[in-house]
Amino acid sequence: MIFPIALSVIFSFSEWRRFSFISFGTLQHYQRIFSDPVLIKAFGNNLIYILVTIVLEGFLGLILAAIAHRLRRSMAFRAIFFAPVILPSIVIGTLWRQMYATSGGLLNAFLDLFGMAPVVWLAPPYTMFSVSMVSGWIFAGYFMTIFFASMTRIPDSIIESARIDGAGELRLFFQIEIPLIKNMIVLVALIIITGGFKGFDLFQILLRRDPLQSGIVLPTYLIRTFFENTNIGYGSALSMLLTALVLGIVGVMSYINKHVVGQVDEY
Amino acid sequence: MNTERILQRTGRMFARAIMFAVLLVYLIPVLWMYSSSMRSNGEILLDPLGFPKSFMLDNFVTAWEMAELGRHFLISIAITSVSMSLVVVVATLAAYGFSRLDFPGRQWLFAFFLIGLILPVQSFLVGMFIMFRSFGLLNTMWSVILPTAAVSTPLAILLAKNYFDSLPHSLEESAYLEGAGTLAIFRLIILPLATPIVVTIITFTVIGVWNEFMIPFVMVQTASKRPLTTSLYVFSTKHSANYALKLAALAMIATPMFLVYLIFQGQIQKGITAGAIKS
Repeated sequence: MIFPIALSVIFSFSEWRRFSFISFGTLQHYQRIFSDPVLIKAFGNNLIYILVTIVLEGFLGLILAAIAHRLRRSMAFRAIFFAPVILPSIVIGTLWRQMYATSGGLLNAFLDLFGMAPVVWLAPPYTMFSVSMVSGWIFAGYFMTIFFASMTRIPDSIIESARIDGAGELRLFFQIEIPLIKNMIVLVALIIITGGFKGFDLFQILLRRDPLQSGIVLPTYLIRTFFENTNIGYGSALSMLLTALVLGIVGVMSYINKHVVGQVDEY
Repeated sequence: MNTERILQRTGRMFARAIMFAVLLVYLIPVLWMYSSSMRSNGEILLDPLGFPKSFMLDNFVTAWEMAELGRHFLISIAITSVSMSLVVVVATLAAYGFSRLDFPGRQWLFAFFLIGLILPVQSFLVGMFIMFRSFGLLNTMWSVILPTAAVSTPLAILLAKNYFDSLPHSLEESAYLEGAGTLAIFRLIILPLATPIVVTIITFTVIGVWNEFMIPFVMVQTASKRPLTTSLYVFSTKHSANYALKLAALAMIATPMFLVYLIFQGQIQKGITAGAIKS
């Protein structure tokens, strides 16, 4: 693994003509990073995607976990909400592409029932929202399971005594459950944010070539630069940018986890 | 007291209502996939919400043949089983080494593997593509097996090392006194004890490799060599207008996975969430 990474670093400083290596020692690819309008658009789309998925996967997952934690029997719900994670992205992506279809698609058929005009879901201004929806559909149940598992580790005695002291469900949620699983919340935020920069499958499957580039993100731009335009130098530079971004986020988040959030006291 | 109880009861009803609403959001797409896969394409276009009139089971036969699902299933099975075996062997051996052997640079090497946990696949994809290209490995199963195994190994090492660390040393010590070598101890004493963690590693590796899309998308361009995921991508691009056919193919891939999930549900949940909980 270290060898191909080293190769990518070298490539990003090299000149290429299609697949043939010409010379090492150029900064042109990194200079291009700072003046590439498509890259800016891809980066912006990545940020939108991350914001929407934090709400759809993180917040929703947390709320569903809190509800499941209060139900006596939630096993079946949890099992079903979790199920999409095991399916390949191609199955989910293709299914949702059908559901988003303008004619013959499930969503527009529902809109039609209520007498609303059909929507072109996978085109601007809805592109990023539609892709994020699918991601939310896959991962809300996944993060719910993770949050639920950490909530069940809170001893019953703490929850009982809070109830006896007259704490309502909302106070229980904000003052007991959230503080006691705060490290897990930071970890899930980290997974969603870095995942938001790495996500490739759904964009490629839902949008295909995406000629308008309305849903272009860093990973799809990288693959297109590399394979469709066979620009190996710039493709490598983009992959280094992506790597630096992910490592930087991991660094910042673990700093936040250690110094701002702090560890939960033993219970 | 009474109002409190009413509040609690409405709260509980509200909570249950939310759960059922979310349940519908999960069930409807899947039910739609199954019902539409048994209808003709014309029926779907006319009325996407309708139920199948005649249960066209031919859709499945046609989709199976046209998408050559049998062949791509076999390719995926081969890739997944080889990749999974590689991960299990390499990760358990390496983890045992990290856990029990004291060699110079051990901390550094382990930290290096931990970085592998957070690196995106994209960081080595370009380099690996060029490397495979010059070795002539592109468009072979190895061009998918090696990178997918590399992606799963760091987490497998971490989980296995934590597990080995928790095993007592006394068993090994007595075997060592009887004259057993390190590898014999590993094979005869450690591995049988490590079954739970090996099952977890197998679970997330198999699901991860089976579902992998980006790596074969980049590495395999020969149609007959593609695993299930990317071959389905090409198939659905080619027949993009034939909804019935596509949905039938999807249903045939999803159904066995649902069945496996139904049987091993707890194990699978544990396996897939292992990465998030331990790291």
